[in-house]
Amino acid sequence: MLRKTRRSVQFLSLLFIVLVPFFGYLNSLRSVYGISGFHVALMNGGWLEGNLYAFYERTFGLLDDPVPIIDSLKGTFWSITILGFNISDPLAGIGYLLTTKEVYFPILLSILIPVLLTVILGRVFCGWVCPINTIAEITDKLRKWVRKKAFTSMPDINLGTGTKYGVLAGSLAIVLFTGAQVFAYFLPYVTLGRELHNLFYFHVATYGAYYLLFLLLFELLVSRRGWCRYLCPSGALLSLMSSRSWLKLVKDQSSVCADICQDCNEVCQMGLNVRDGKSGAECSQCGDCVVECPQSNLKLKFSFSKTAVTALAFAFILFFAPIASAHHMSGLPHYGYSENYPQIPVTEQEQNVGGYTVSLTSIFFQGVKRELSSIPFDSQFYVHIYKKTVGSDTSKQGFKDPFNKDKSGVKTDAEIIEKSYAGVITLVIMNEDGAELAKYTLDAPSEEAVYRFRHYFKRSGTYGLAVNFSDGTSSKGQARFTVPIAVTEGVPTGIYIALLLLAVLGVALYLRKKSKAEFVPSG
Amino acid sequence: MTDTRRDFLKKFGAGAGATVLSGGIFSMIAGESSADVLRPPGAKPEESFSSSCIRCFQCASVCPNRAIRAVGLERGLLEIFTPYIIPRDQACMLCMKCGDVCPTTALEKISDDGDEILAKVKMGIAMVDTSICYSYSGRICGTCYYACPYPDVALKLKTFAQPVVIEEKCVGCGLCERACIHIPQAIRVYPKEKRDA
Repeated sequence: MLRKTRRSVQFLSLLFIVLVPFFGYLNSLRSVYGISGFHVALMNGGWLEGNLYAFYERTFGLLDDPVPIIDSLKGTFWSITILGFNISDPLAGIGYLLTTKEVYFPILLSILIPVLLTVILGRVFCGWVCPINTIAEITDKLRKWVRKKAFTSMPDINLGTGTKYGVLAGSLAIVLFTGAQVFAYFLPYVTLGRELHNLFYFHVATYGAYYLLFLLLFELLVSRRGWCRYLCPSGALLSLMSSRSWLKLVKDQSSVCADICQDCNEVCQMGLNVRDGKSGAECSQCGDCVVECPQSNLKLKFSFSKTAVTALAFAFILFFAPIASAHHMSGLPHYGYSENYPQIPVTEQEQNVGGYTVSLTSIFFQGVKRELSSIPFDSQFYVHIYKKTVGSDTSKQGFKDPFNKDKSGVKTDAEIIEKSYAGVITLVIMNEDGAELAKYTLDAPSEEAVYRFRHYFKRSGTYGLAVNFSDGTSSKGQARFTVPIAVTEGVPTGIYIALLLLAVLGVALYLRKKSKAEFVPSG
Repeated sequence: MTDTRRDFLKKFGAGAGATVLSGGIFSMIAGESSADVLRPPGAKPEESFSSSCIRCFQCASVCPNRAIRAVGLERGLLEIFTPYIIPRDQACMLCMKCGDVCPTTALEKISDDGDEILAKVKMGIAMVDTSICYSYSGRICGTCYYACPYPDVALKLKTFAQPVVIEEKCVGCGLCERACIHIPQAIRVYPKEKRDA
């Protein structure tokens, strides 16, 4: 029962972290395209997205206005917004306090729920909610399986529980002195949320995916549950807060353990000495030892005092007061299709050559998702060469700089004059080794001082572009650019497939072990 | 007991030392933060923005237009994961949900009332490059004017549909830059920090 409850909570938390960006993305598709699954499939990807959107339309779309409902739950375990009320990680609040050095009441209020939860129930966030813990448990199952099948012994490096308190103190010092929220950079549950957000919203994976994979391999091969036991600063803080928690693991002293039995110590997620009753504040309240104990000697016991209840009551009054100042929930304005259709993405580069600024704008005609296409056959390059000088000429070609004001707020006569180059230019397209592929020459700008070139590329890759121009009098210029054409942004989405496979394997192992246990006759 | 305590302190020191060391390396390779980036509406001044933002990217998550990004290393290590907008790809539509959802003071809470937005939002200022703008070169365009959420207030059209930005009123949403049909863009939004420089 205990384990089943915990598994459901863990499943819900995983569901939360996956479904929030998922439905957020479908929501944005609705506001951007807003027609039908077919159109979404046509314009923004393919069959899968179209069908997902159609599913969304059939479920949430039946509601009058699904957008505020989906928007009412946002965020990750770093910071969640539920119905306009924020719940933040204690480290986020502390980090904010340290970097800005100002007391902002709402964020202190928003860390109240996690703090109270930890003070009362102990490290339940670690054991029951944190998605990384869930993944690490699956990894642990895998580790056991790998050890049984492949190796007789595997390294299990003990970094020591003190290390994570050191990491906490060190990170707090860095937050204080650099003013950067470093906790959000490396806490894996924040990284996971961010990665899922990027995956759903922009279809890219960043280095965070590598980081998560590294941690997973570290826990799988080097150190059993290494991150949670020895390194996680969030776990350290929660341990510090939960030292006097009401929910505690207690051992029945009247019943004596069998001499050889080490079941509770072996199963303990945090690697604690449960058998001798020395679990302490490090316990993540997962209750695995309670389930596993053959003699039922262990119990998660809830005990509280009158003072504590009074304090809690006061805290709740404090917590519920500001909700009364109802939160403004703005509805989605009604945008048309044409207003939201995204522009063709361009790549822009600039270089200064011989007093001139050469700007190159590149377009690859492969629709909106050109990064994912393999053959960018049609490309256009727009070259604009100009010279900026400060003068007092107020001719029509003058370039007014609204930022260039003097202290009284009145505009001075001196303005930045932009003079465009209008002579002959040559564009040389080279491959990566510098070999010339094509050469184009234009005598005059194609339109409005901008030169336009068009080239058909045979395959994706990184190409070199050289723009040659000479204004006759003094300077000859050559600007060299490197243009990545249709190179995918290293989308390592394979990592997710690997993670998914690992998860499936872990779950399968877990289920198999369970079914086997059912077949073994007891007694 | 003293032995385990000594062990604990040793590990504590090792952990703290390693973290501070990596933090030192981190701040050494963290280059200067570049200010030429458009922040979501109602953002704090650039110098205090990245310290106020806790990188929860809820603003990016709630943005109906996927205009707000919080992707990666583009803006240097210190500003990593802070939200920004590239108006050419997707401009801000001033729905003001991001300020609502922000748990800190990084984004101010502003209602989606048009006058309030006009008074409070100042993401940047649009600038017209008259040397390449179609309307300033003898062809009539005016696309930016039709994209502007405050036509005749923030952006006016002269004769031959020549756009003129009213700097005091421009909120810097970037819809004009996104709509501009000239490549490269003849109208662009520059972040507000440049204004005071």
